[in-house]
Amino acid sequence: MKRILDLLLGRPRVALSPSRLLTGEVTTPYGVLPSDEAVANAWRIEAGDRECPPWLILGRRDAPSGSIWRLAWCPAATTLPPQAEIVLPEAAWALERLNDLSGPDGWHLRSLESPFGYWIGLWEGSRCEHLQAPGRDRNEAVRLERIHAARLGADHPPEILGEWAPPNALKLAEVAEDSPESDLLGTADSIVRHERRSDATALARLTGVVVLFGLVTGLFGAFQFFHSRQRRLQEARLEAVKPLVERTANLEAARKRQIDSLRAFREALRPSQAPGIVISRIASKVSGDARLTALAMEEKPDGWRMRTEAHLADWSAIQPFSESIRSVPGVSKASVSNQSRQAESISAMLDIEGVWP
Amino acid sequence: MTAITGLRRILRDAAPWVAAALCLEIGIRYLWPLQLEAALADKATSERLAGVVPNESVLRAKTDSLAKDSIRLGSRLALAKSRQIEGPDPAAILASRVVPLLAERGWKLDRVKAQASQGVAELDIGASAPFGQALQGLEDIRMMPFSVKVRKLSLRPGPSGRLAVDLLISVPARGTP
Repeated sequence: MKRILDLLLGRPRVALSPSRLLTGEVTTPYGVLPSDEAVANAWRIEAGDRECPPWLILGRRDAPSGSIWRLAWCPAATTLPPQAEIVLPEAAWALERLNDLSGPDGWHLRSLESPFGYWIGLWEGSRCEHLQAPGRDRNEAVRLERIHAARLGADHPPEILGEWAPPNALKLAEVAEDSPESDLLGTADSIVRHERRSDATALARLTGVVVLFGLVTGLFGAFQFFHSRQRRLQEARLEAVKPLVERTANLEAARKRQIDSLRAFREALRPSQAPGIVISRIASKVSGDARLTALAMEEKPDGWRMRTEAHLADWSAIQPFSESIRSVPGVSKASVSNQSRQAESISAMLDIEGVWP
Repeated sequence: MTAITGLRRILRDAAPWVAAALCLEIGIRYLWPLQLEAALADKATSERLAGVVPNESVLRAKTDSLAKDSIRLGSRLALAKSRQIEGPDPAAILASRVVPLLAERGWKLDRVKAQASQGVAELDIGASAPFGQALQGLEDIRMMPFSVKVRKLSLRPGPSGRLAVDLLISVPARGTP
């Protein structure tokens, strides 16, 4: 992921490579960085008429003559890594790690154990005076560095141990940016690799644009598909229940028609009225010497009404007779509306009301 | 050669940005709004349908209930129809059913008047019968498969120890063309 991001951002890949380490110094006017030409001159003085290798600045010391820059030339020691646009000498990273240590103000040694050897250098305060190429024999390296220190007037300088950390891509990129002169790649190789990297970056960016466009379109498409599917589901649900809805509507309409018809036919559902039963029940209450001579019956909204004439033996029979009529099931009211003597009997007109059995 | 290389570099470096601009143009102006619009329309439709379409099981239960109701009402309606007189002349039909019945019971019919109006067939009978047979005749009328309503009934002493009976009954009627 990090590599893809670096590619998209157009960051060059920075790698480390073993190199030899040849130290030297260049003096410049106070505070002025050493130019390529000055370093090349210094190299010619040291190594003759050979091409000046990449170099890195170890430290700077100000003197009355100007700024004296301690340098390390780093000719490549092996084949350079092919998949990198910038190749730094391992010494550049080791120097970075050693410079990160905090030491005393005076002379001291800084040492660091790395996977590619044992680094040791001579520092005065925070300024690096000398850095050895990495060696396998720690004691020998310390001994050589102490000799070097003694030559500069420092007896038995203390040693500070540093802690190795694997090369950090971001930090390496910073180092490469700060010291472009230490790139081990030749100019031609560097241009070719940078071109290749730029092509890859452009292709990656194009792919990224297409992927991003596809991703956004795909997300909208997924959103669209989801809701389209939801709609189809609801439509399918509607289709599934449509016959049921129609059947329900038909049944409701039919039910309404049936209820209307029943309402119209409600009279037909009432049981037949039974005047015979009513008359039988009333007649059963007529005792021996009493008799009913006439009756007239008619319906009323909640039952029936009857008027009958009873002939009874004497006056005292009227009340028990009307009481007995009241006890007939279905009779709700029985009253004597008129009573009179007729020949040998008493005539009583009874108004009776009741409900149909 | 250098000019071609320079042009190639420019094209190479600009290509991603041109592609990005083109994609944004197509996406923002045409494609994404269309997709979004279609999705929102579908969403609104599905939400509307979700609120409208009834639950199938509930609907099925309702249909079953309505069907049962319909069957019950249908049987009630059939019963109601069976208890009505149906025919082109309901009053005549009523008379033709009642008169032989009463005659069999020993009613001596003096008057039979039948008429139908407003969905009701009415039969007005004037007769004489002994008390017991009068009651039997009334019971026979009640037992007819119609819904018989007794509008008026009068019993009074008649000739030869019989009772003079005046009876007005009505039965719901349905005329057929």
